[in-house]
Amino acid sequence: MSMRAVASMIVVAAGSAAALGQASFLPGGYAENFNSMGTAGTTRPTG
Amino acid sequence: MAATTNAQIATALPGFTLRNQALVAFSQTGVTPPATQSSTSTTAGYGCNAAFSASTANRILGNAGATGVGATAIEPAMTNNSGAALTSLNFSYDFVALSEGTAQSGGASPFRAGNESELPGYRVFFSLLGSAGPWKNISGLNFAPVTQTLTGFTTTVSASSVAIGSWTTGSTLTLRWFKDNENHSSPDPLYGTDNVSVVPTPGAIALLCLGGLAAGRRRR
Repeated sequence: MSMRAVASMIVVAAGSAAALGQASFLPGGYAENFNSMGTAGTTRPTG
Repeated sequence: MAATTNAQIATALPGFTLRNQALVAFSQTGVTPPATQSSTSTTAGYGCNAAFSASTANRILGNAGATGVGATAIEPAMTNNSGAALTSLNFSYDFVALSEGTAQSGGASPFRAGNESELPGYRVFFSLLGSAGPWKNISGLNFAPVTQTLTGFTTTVSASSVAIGSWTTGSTLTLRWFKDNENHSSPDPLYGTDNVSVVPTPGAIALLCLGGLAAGRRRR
């Protein structure tokens, strides 16, 4: 395996690690409507 | 609306961080947030999972401020998996006024621009270098109610063709909805964020494609 191939794998791995737990911005962009939070509860937090 | 811990919200929304800012002296006329922050809050605080009673399935990410902290911030981070470096983006979100809160000392309403004792509404920033910044303000996304009914209105705020520098593939762009809370008498005004959209500026994509074609022809 060439040094260039190894370097490419390292770059890809580093990019994947950075992406863990993050939203993904795809060619069509990013959108979030927050409906995945669900509908439980009735009171606001103390603020 | 639901009382939800900030950690629960962060779990439900990948890439979202909710921060409490330590008490700081903060200019009412400035838009640049302090560079340093306290650690991410993991207890029940200002973040909440909200909705209007007439449409409970339509959830809204609420920000109520937090007692004892100078400001609060919502920070979604996203990885550029578009396949191209991006230099310009179109942003939009819905600013939702959920409740006004109590009047603060020095101002009749903390919610209405021009009549406030702390910065009203949201200031929106982005960073290509994570939460440490530097943060750049997206002026078109700043919003504070002026004449609107203070409880129960929703308005879409947008900014087109925002130059962001170079957001390379695989790297992170972080947004920040920043809410001043210098006068933190409880209850604070409760803001909401909904229907966030970030898309590449169409012209910028075309220019990138043309640039790629030109580079390919030069190589041939």
